Amino acid sequence: MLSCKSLLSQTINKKRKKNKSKNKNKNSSTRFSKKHNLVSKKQNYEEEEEDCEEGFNFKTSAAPSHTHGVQPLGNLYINPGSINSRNTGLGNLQTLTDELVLDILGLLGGTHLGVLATVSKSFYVFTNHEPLWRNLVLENMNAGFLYNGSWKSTYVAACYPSFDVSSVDVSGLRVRDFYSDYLFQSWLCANLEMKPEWLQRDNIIRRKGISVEDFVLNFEEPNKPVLLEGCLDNWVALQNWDRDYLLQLCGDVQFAVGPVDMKLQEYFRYADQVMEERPLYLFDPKFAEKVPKLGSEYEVPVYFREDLFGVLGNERPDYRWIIMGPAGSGSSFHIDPNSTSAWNAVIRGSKKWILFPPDVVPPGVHPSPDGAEVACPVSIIEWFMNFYGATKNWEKKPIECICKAGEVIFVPNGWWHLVINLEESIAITQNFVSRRNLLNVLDFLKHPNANALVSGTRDRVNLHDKFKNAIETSFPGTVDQLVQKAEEKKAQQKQSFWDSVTDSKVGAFKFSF
Amino acid sequence: MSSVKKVTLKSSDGEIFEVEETVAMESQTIKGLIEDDCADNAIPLPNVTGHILSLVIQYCKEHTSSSDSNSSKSNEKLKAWDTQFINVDLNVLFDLIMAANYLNVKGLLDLTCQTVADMIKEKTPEQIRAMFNIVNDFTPEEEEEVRRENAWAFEISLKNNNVVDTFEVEESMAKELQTIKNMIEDNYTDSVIPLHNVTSDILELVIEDCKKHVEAAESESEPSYSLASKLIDDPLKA
Repeated sequence: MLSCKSLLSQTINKKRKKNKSKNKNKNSSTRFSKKHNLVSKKQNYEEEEEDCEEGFNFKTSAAPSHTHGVQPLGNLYINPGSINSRNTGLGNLQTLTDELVLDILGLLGGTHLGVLATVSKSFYVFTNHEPLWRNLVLENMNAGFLYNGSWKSTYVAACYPSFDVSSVDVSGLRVRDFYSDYLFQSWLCANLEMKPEWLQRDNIIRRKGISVEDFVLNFEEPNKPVLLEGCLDNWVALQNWDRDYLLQLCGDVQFAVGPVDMKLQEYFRYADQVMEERPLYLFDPKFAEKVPKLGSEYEVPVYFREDLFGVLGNERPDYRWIIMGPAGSGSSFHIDPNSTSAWNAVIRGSKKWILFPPDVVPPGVHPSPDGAEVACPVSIIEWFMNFYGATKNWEKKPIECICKAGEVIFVPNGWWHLVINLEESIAITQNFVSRRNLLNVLDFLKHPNANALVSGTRDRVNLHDKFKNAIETSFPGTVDQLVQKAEEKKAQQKQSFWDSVTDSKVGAFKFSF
Repeated sequence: MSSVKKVTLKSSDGEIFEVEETVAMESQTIKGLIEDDCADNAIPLPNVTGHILSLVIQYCKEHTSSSDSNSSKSNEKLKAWDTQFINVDLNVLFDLIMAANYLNVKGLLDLTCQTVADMIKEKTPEQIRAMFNIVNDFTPEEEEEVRRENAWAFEISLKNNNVVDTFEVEESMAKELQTIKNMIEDNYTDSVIPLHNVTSDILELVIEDCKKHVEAAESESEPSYSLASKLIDDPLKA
C-alpha cells in the first residue's frame, strides 16, 4: 500500500500517450469537473516545487478523481475537524478494516449489495466497489457475459433485464468526506498509466539473424534471456491478425479468459470499456484446436524447434497459448511451470518485460519454501509503484525490455518474469523442453509435490515416468548421455573450486553450508 | 507429567494463557512464530484482549481435537458447536473478526464473517441501520437517487414452471397473494420465487389483477374481481 506521505506529495499530470489505442470508454470523463479533490490547499503551494517525476499519469479516458469522491486517508489529516463519513456510515462495523468489510460484503449476493447501498453513504461507496461485482459476474456467468461499462452494470443488466440500466447516471453519487486508503488505492491502480521511468531501462541482449548453434551456445545453454529480431518475418499472422480479421475468422468462438470462457467479440467489447487494476486476460491453450487457421498462420521460430514433450503426443501438458489483452493486462511475477523454457512473440502491440534470474527473488514476492506457491500480493501496477524503485540500487539488476511487434523474447527456464501490456496486444507463447533443460524437467517431475505444480496435464501423477519412457523410446540413450555430461561438468567445477582455495586472491572467501 | 508441548500467550491486558502447541498452531501467526523459534517466552498479543483471546483459544481447542483421528466429532456436531459459539454480542463478534484476522485463524474468520453477512441478508435498510447503529446520512434527494439506482434489488421475482419466464413485481403487489406474502414474511432466501403450479399466461393475468387491486386501493375505488385472483388462494392447478 502506498504510504500516505508519497500520495500527498504527488501532483497529477494528464499525459496523452500517442500509442494508446483504447478510448471507446462509455464513462464520459468530460462530465467530471476539473477540480481535483485529491489536492488540498496546502498541496497547491508544493505543486510548483515538485519534480515532474513524482506525478501520476492517468489513462487518457480516466476520471480525474475517484468516481464517488473517495480520498486517501492522508487527506483527512490535513483537513482538521473533518469527520470521516466512512466511519459514521458503517456504525459498529467501523472498527473493522476496509479489507475485512469487503470480505464480508464478498459473501453477499447482488440483491443484498443493492439493498445495502441505500443504507448510508459509506455503504454506498463500499457496495459499489467494482471487484465485488466482478466476482459475482465471474462466478455466476462462466458461459460468457456482455460487459456493460462496469461490472455492477454488467451484473444487473444480465440478472434484471427489465431494469433499465442506462437510465441510471453512470457516475453515480459523489460522496464528500469519505477517506479510505484501500478504496482509493484500488481506484488509483485502475487508472494509472505506466510512468516513463519504469519503461526506460532496456538492458536485454538483442540479436538478429543468429544461427541456432549460436543461440544454443550463448543463450540456451548458459540459460540467459535474449530478444530476437527478424525471426517472425514469414509469419502470416503478422500481416493478418488485427481485430477485424480475427472477428471475422472466429468472433463467435469461445476462448479462455481467466476463470471463464468468452466469445472473442464479447472479449473485445470488454477490453474496450474496462478500466481496472487487473484486467481479464485472454489466455487460451487450445486456440489452434479451436481455430486451426490460427495455428497455421504462425510457425515456431527455428531456435525453438526441439520440443521433447512432443513425444507424449496428446498427453503432453499445455504448451502453446494465444494471448490477448488491453493495456494494463499482464502477468505478475512467476516462474513457468514444469521447469520449461519459453518464447513469447508479439504480433500486435507491445509488452514490458522484467526478468530476474532463478536465484534472485524479486522484491515484494514471497515464494513458499517448497516453491509450490508464489504469493505476489500486489497487482502489476502496484508492484511498479512500490517495488520497482528498489531494483535501482540492487547489485543484481533485473533484465528489462520492451518487446514490440515482430520481436520474440526467450525466457530461460527458472527465470522470474513479469509482463505488462503497454497497449492492446496479441501474442503467441510456447513452453518447451529441449536437451538443454531435459534433466531439469525430469528432476522437477520427480518432486513429491509435482502433482500440484505441474500445469496443463490431465494425468499428473505419472507424467515423470511416462515422459522418461517416451524419451527412451524415441531417443534411446539420451538421458544417460546427458546425465554423464552433467556429472563431468560438476567434477570440473569442483576442481576449480579447490583451486581457488589455494589462490591468494581469496581473501574474501567464506564458507557457506 | 504431561509431555505435551505448550506455549504461553499474553493478552493486551496482561492475562496469561497456557495452551497446547497444536492448539495454538491453529493460528498461522503463532505457528510462524513457533517455527521461527520465537515462542520460548510468552508471546505477547497486544491486539487481543484476554476475553477475546480466551474465546479464540476455545475455538481452536474445539477445532484441533476434531481433526484428531481419535475424536469422533462429526461435522454436524461441530457446526452445532460453532452456531452456539458464535451467538455473542455484536461487539464481541467484531472483536473476534479482528482477532481471527490478526491471528490468522481461517476457520474462525470465515465463521465470523459469514455470521455478519447472514445478519445483513434479507433485511431492509432500516433494519440494517438499527442493527449496526448506522446514521442515514443521505439527503432526501440523494436517498431517492440511490434508491432508484438500486430499485432492481427491491423487486421480488416470480418464476413459473417449465418456461423460464420471470416476472418482476413490486413487493407490495406480490403481497396481494397470501402465499407469496407468507414467503416474504418468512424471509424466503431466494430472490426468485418459483411457482411450479402456475403457467406463464395465468401468472401474467394474476399479476395484472394484483396491479389493479393495488392501484385501486390507492385510489380508493371499488376493486373488481376476476377469475384469476380467485384461483390463487385455492389449490393451484398445473
